[in-house]
Amino acid sequence: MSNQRIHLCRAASRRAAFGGVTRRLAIAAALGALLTAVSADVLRGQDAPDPEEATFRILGLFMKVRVEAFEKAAAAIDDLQVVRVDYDAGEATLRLSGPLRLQKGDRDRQLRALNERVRIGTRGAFELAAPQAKLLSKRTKVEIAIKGHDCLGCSFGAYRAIYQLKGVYRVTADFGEGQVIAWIDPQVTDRDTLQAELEKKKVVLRGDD
Amino acid sequence: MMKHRFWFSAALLVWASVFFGARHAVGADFFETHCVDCHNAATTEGGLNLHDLSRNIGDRSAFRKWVRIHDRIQSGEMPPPGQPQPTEQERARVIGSLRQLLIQTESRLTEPDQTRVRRLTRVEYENTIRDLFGMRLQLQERLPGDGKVHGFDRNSDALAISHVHLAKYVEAADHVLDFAICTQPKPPQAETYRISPAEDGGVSLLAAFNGGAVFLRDKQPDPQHPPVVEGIQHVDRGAHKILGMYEDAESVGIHRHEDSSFMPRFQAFSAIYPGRYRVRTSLWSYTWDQGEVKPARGTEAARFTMIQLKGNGRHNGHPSYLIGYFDAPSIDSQVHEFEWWFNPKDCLGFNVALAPVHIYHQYKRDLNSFTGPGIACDYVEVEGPLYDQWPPKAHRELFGDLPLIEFDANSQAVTFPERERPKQQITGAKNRQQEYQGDWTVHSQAPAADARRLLAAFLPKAFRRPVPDELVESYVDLAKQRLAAGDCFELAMRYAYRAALCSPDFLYHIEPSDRDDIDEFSLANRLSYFLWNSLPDAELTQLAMAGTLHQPEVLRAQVERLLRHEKSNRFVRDFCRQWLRLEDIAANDADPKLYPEASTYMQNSMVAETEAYFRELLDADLDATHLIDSDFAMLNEKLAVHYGIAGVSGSQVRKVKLPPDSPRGGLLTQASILKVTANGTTTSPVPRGAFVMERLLGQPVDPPPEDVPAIDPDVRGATTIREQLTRHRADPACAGCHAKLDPAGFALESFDVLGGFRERYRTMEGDNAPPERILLDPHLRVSFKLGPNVDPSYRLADGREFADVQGLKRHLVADPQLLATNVARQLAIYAVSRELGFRDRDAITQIVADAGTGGIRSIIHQLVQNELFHTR
Repeated sequence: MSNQRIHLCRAASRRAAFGGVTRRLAIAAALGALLTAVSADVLRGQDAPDPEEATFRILGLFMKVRVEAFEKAAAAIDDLQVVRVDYDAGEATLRLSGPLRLQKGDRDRQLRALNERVRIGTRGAFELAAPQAKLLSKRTKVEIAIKGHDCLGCSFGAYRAIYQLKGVYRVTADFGEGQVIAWIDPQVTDRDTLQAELEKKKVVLRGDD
Repeated sequence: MMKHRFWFSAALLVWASVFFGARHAVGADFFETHCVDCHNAATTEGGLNLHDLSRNIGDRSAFRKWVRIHDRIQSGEMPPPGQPQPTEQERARVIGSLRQLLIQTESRLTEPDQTRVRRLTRVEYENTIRDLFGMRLQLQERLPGDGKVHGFDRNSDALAISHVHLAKYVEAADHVLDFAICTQPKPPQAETYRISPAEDGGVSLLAAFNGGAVFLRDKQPDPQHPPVVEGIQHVDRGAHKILGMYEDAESVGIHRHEDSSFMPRFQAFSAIYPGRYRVRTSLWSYTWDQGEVKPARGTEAARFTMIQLKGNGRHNGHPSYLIGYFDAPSIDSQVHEFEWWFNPKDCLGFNVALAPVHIYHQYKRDLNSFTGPGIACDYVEVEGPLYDQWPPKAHRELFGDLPLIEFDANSQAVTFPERERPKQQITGAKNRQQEYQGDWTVHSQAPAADARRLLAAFLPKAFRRPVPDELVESYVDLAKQRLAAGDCFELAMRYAYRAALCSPDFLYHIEPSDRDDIDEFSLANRLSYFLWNSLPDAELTQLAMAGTLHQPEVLRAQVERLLRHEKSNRFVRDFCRQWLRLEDIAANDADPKLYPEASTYMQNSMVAETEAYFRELLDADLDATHLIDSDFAMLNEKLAVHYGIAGVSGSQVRKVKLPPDSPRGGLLTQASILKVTANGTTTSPVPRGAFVMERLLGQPVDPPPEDVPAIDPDVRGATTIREQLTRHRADPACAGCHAKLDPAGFALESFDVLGGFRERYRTMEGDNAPPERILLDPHLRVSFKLGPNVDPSYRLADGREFADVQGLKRHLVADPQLLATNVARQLAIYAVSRELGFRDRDAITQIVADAGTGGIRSIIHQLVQNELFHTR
């Protein structure tokens, strides 16, 4: 694959991770105040502005045991500190400092840059997106029974099969528990779509055999 | 005009000698009384018409027929039993006269058997380049294949040259120079890479996903990486990789054998810089028993290959060659260390040398129900590149100690070489290119003088003899032309070196002599290409320069030195490959249903046995009867089990004492010989008998007449080949040859297509009994049955009977002279690169006589001392 194609693929995956226009507006709303403050600091010419806290949606928290993994991986990233992780909401509050502080300007670009730092720092295991915990309660919860190895990698595989689908807001997957849970917008997607995507990735659904 | 007169005279002489006169030379009465009745224009029995034949004695084909007539009368085969026999005196007289006539005629043939100018074989080319430059490049596959004449590829008739060859030689020369010329002032730093077999691009990632492998920790299944069960595979390899699960894996155990879609390799390290590397690996074996790791049945073996990746290294089908087999003891990690040459894009291939592919496919379904052997690899470590000096020997051969300087690639004043920066191109490889030190090239302050000095030193080595000043000057002129055209010193010299490597002086064995005897340098070349398959080293060259190499005691010492050197294994390998047709070992695959035990490991072990056996004959100077029988064999565990011999453990071939009643021992009953003389399904006494007659006894049997159909084996197993041949022999036209072919062939019917001993034929038909699994891997799925009994008894052409192969061996070893003469003849053909003529028979007889009670080594010594080796 050429470098150009690789670049295009990466850009496409980022777009997918952050969703469409609606979610971009949500990102803008969530970060608006923070960015305003940060830009104000910059405009005042302060050399070392105070760290700022912000809450993000964390992609990759598919099992509870992944909370510790996220905290450990994030601890290795300069200028980023985990304040708290809300597993149920799939969100984390981060303290950003130095160059990671969000500045006034292209907010999408800044969030993409921050996400890139997290993605690279965690070797692709975690990503950042705009928070949405408040919206989660309004989503439909779908539980799908699965069968397979009690294996962390496989659980992550099942998670990856559907977490980027349109209309999917949060996913947990655990072969040990034998279950994938997804919070979806029923106007956009449904159980059958999720099951089809899981089977495409060779996840065996309980009741299939 | 003179030529025609000569041939007319020769034909007349023969014609007159045989039929009309000169009774003192050749007894015409003898032929009239004993031969012409059957071999005339009307009868032409055996396709021979003596009346017609005698008029064409100058023709090489007719000459060969006369030689056969001589041999058959001499052996007593003709006149045939039942016909009036000549007295011994009559026979001796006609033999003596014919012999004299043949020797005289042969010396006058238009194309007498003589060593002619020939090019290097592919093997010789590769070895020559390797030794000249000190680089272990793979070059054979870059050149067109060689032909073969009289069983060997060294005859000039087999070594034609075409425009394709020339183009390939130019490509090969460029390839060699690309690697040889140093482009950096400092060597790449040696680095160590430790590769987990579970890493991306590792040996077993894919296998672990579909059940061909399992992750292990503390010699038990790794709970973090559960094995595939109930047909459920792991999900999303990328997800596992992101979580770093493969890096955490301790060991990987593999059950699946390599096949067309599974080519496991350690791609996480793929060489960027050519050179020597040190490889360490840790291996152990186990039995996978329905989800549990238990002790192995013995020491298993892992096969390491060098895979020459193409493109970005994805997919399968990359060329590879065998490095070797390494022991994997039961539940006990063993560390192996070896050094090997890596070329760019080379990576290590790994394979379990277990049972054949189709046997272990059941693991795919459910490892909880699978039982079978496995080999675990803890890691592979690659350290390098390792250099003894910088610039390396290859560069110094070309440029001596001239300094390297950095140059400006954009210079307009001088044309500099285009440098391709070393770069990792293989997907999944973790080793990266080191910092590029800039564009460097060799620098000369006196280019013309340096070119002359360097070429004067290089050309004699490459051309394997002193090079006249004018020839050196012609290459210097080439360099000067390029310098004048604006090339830098390196490019100019490269132009000259490439020309040298494509010149006849390099590519051909040239023995300049206006006499029949060869000069000292030709002698050094013959000796070196005979025993090392490569160019002479400094010591041989110095002796040739001193003019002392031909002295018997010097020659003897050199033969000893060469045979003791590791390079003599090239001779062992190449000679056995051709003489014993080992190169055909993979010509066909055994039918997996009839021979489920067949495997690549077994096949490689067969070749290793024969090479090791010949090496043992050479080292211990064992006599020629050992070609037929011996009280020992050279075995590893795989072959020992195949032969039913207990107490041999591991993959390494070693000398093993045979039980007194063993049918093994000698070349005759080695699995390699038995496999190359069979197809993948059935055996036939005919090709095996022909092999024994031609290769081991030196008595080739004429090929069948064109109008005689081949015998189709009954693959259903209803009729034995003996029954078919009995009908075939009823035809008198066939009986004569089969009387010679069939005896050894029938005795060897005791061995199947893999060389396994049998008392009954295997068959897939009927209600026959299943086999006892004494020698068969208990994990093998066996579907064949046992058919008719094997009858190995028969009688030799002279009437001596035998009951089995041991009986045959006893008859054959009773004539050590015959065996020694044959091996001397085969060695001589290989050494002097030509077919031996009738007149060379005396030389062979003398060599064997001089060797006395000695063996193969003594014969080689006497061959090298004999005039045959010193003349064209």
